[in-house]
Amino acid sequence: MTFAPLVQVAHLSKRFRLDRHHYVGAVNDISFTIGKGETLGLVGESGSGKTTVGRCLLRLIEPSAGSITFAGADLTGASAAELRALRPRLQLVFQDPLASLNPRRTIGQTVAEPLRLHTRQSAAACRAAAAEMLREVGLDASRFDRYPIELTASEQQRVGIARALVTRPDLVVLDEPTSTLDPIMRAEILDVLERMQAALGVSYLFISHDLTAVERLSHRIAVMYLGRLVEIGSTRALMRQQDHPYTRALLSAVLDADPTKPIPPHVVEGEIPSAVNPRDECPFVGRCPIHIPVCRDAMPGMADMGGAHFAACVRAPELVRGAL
Amino acid sequence: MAFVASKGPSRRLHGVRRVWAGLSAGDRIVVLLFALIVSVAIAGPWLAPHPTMTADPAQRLLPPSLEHWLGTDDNGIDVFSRLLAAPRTDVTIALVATLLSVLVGAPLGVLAGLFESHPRRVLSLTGEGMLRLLDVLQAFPVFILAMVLVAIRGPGTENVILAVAFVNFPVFLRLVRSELLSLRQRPFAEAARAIGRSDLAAAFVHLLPNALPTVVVQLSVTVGFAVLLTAGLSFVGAGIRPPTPELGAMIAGGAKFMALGQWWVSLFPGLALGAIVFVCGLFGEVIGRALEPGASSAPRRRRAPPLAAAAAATNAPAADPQALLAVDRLSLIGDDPEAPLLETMSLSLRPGERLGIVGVAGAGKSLLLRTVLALPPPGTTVRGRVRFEGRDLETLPAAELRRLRGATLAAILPNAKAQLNPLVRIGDFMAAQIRAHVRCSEAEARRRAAKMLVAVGLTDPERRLDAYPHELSGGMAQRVCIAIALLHRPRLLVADEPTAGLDVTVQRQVLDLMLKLSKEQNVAQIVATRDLGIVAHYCDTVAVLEGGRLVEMGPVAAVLTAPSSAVTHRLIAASRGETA
Amino acid sequence: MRSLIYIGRRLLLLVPQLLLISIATFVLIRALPGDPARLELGPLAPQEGVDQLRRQLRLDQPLPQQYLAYVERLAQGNLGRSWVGSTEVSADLAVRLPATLELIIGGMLLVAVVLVPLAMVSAMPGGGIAGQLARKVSFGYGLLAGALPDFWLGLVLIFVFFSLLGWAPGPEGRLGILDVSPDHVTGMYTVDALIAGDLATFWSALAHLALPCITLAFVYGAPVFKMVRSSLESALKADYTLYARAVGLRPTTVLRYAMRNAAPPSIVMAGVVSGYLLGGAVLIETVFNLNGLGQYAVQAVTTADYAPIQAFVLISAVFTMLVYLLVDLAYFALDPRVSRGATR
Repeated sequence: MTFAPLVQVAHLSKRFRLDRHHYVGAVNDISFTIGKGETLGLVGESGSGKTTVGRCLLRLIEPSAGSITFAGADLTGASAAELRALRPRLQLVFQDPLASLNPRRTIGQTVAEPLRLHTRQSAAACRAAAAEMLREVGLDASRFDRYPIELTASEQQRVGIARALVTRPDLVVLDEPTSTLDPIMRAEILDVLERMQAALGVSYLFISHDLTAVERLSHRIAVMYLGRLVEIGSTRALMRQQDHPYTRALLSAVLDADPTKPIPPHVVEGEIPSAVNPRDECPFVGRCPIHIPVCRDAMPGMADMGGAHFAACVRAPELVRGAL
Repeated sequence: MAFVASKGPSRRLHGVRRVWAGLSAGDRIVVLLFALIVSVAIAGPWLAPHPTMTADPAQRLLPPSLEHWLGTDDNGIDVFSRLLAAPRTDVTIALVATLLSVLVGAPLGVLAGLFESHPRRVLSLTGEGMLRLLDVLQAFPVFILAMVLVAIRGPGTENVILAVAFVNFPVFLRLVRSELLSLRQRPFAEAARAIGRSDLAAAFVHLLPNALPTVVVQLSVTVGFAVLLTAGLSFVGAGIRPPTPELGAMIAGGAKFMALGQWWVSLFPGLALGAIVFVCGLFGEVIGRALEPGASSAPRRRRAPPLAAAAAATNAPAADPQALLAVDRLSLIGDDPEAPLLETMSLSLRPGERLGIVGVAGAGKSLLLRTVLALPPPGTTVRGRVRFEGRDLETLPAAELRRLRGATLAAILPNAKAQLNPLVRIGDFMAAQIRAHVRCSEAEARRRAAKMLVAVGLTDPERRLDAYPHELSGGMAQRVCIAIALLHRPRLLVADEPTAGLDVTVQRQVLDLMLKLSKEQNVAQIVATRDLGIVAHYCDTVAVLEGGRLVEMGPVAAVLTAPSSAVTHRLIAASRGETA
Repeated sequence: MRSLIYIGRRLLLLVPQLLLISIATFVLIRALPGDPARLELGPLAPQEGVDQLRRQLRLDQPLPQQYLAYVERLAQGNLGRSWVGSTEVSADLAVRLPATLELIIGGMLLVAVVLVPLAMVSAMPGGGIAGQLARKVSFGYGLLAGALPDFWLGLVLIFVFFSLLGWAPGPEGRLGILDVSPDHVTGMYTVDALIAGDLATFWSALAHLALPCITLAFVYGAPVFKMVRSSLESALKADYTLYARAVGLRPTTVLRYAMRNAAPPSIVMAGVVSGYLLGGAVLIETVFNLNGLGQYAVQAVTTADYAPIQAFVLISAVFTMLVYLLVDLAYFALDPRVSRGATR
């Protein structure tokens, strides 16, 4: 399956200054595209910079460098007014469903608000559209006048999804939408997201550390580590063959609920290092079981592994051959 | 009241009535008392049975009687009558001054909050400057500042109002500013920006309404404080002066008679003053509660329907003679005796056996573990028995129970960083833990602690011992907790979500460590988790909970490959991200 | 190293703060209608005296010059003259300040010795009948303390303990009419009497101090009391306390650790309250006729005696700033998250 490009991100970086000599390199020189109607899964552990990428994409955080093109328009240079006009087409779903909803507004008000801001429809028309959207994400009309705390976590997250989709956006950034939910609620939300994409043709940037969820929803997966993109490829290819040792480690950490399947040996020790003043080297080198001296010399570039599959590892060809 | 303001008069009545219906009996009394104070402040002077400002030397300092219920003062004026007339002065000054201070303070607070975080340097410096000026202003003690202000402008109602308002407006400025800044951190503020609200619009539409309950509570506290301040100023002669009836001045008028035994002149105005301040404070809390969204209807706990499997599982015989832990018909009763938090659960564990507990959020996993540790939440009652190594934990004396916990019965609770006291060094905590169970010196305890930190894979143990919890990563804190659990060769390790919140690559390290130690030292484990994958590969048996009941239990391989209950089916599907 | 930097920076902050306070007090008096020199010297002073002071205050020069003159005078310890008593304000302060300090210190001691332990006991669960009693007393106190006016409470105490029971002396000042004040060392009569070895005077001074200190502690101890109670309660309910119990720490250790968590917010509250104490002393000194700083200020206000007012305002602001400085340093020392920084 191929998609016409909707978003192109080129050499995106974001640094957070700590003091005169220190900064956090949250995102370092990242490039990727998202197609129309496509879901790109963005995977990484805490501190990998994946949330920052999502915020930069929506310009909720100003990128330090790089460019973002959205539907042919330059998003990085957009003025405040232009950005506001683009808002209905670029939306966000949050990690903590309850905290992302204004506790003093009914869910009907919350979902109708984007329409009232961006369309000239009457209040009644906005309410009707909001009610329709809520119905589509699986909430019945009796919930319309409820406050967020009166709903279950799964229902709250549906409200968040409805608010994001009610303006029929082209792209929704899903920032860990299932990580605070229990497994059954997680599955329900994934269902809703999948159904809505089929109905509306919306693109998703699905940010998560949960590989099971990402695998289910994404067409392609991008893996981040310590502010760098280390591997990107189609879900099927990436699940079959990981060309970066970190992706391997990440996948081996997932435990299948089937006790008859053997558990993969886990390959890495230690924890993610600090992102303060990152050096120009492979970010994974300190934990990598197969690192060689050259890994410390510079950040390896993205190597084309064939089939639109890229990995930033000098030993990727050996890994692919199975020589390691 | 913002939450009904846009709905028109008919809805407003409905809103007020609904709020009244949602109040408890105590709250209603507070509201009625407040109404009484307001009525006296309005109508008091007309209700007074005697003249309130005309001296009558013949009636001087009469004690309370049928004619003068609360006696007369040194001018021969009826104290009761003056008491009815006086609150108008105090309450009016306090209300007007508080209103003034909130009208000035709140908008300035919004400005300060918006300016402070503004990218434009001029604005952020302005916001910062406002606060520093406020610091200096607030360095002057409130009463002294008010006293001096009145002294400069001269006594009189307007000047007292201005002074009281002036010393109180910084309170609202700071409150609104800090509320605004903390609300801005909440995700719904970012959501407002994400849908295209400007900062200013988001502040007024989404943030300020959420600051309302806090401001209202502060408003009522400030009214009470302003009443006290007005009375205090008048008491020292820097506020309202006689003959205007005013509570502080009335107390001052009777002050010298207090030492002479004529107590009634000062006593009653003071009581009235206390009552006004007291009721104002309570009234604010009532209004603040009523303004919380959904205050009248809390979400109800979902209850699982009765299940045949549940009955079967709970009736399973638990009398295993070799059992390390035997839980027999355990129930945990909370607020509602009809809906127990845990219901007649029975299960047992052999030495070295690893039991996984699974279920959706709210199924009772954590409650079961806490009850097994004999640490049920306060306000709950335990029925049934928990026997550990043949001893009934419920009837065990507190001192023996304590010696058991952390020794043979070890615990790991979720989110290790929250479990470790932020103000206690790791080494101090571990040494205290060791010495609570073994007689040894501090130095010996620290040596043992360091050894155990190495055993769980932490490098540089001396530095870890010196560290405070915030100086550790989540994974390191989790290892510290595991080390603490293993200090005394436990026979049972109770672990609640031992890997929640850890990065996936670290989760595996922690699980492997727990498995290795369990095998080496034959430690039995109870692991509560929402991750079926952990159960599938790190446990021998699994128990499935739903709505406080045990619905299924058995060997992992059997339960996970051929589940008998619907909830297990759904959990297995969900572990693949699918709905059953 | 980190702590030295912090302490240094915090002390440095004191400089602009004091500067702003001096400007504020300067402006306060200049805001009055009329001639500052005439105001300070009073309506009865001869014109040449006023003219002399005008030159000294550089009132013929622009405002910045006037401010400099004001600061110069402050630096010399010259706080002006009280025209009502025709005394040096600084000399008056030397007599009055110790009385106020004695009251404040006594009140805070009561808070520390009576209210804080009561708050701690009532925050702990269990404790049998004593614990229940403590919780009842503390509940009642918590309800009343914030609402009762201090000056009225003082009067009621006088009525009960002096007029009715005769246990305490009346509002006659710091000593009885027949007592002779001890030789001046610190100016605090209790301390000076002990230094002089005069037990009778010591007891008299203490007895005269009892009711004022109780009043001060009752009213101004309430926020501290509530903060100690609620912060210890929440520390005892926190996850880390449950964990400490789950791993079998001794109950005394569990409590000791929880108290560490309750200490920083309690100390901050105690500091904030201390800042208010000078204001509270104004009313209580007036009721009990203690002749301290507060009563001095009240007299000055009622007689429009501006030099003492200005001095009092300045002293109370400096006092508050110093208290806040101590609070910040204490907080820094108590909470490692501040003093050792967060790693991530």
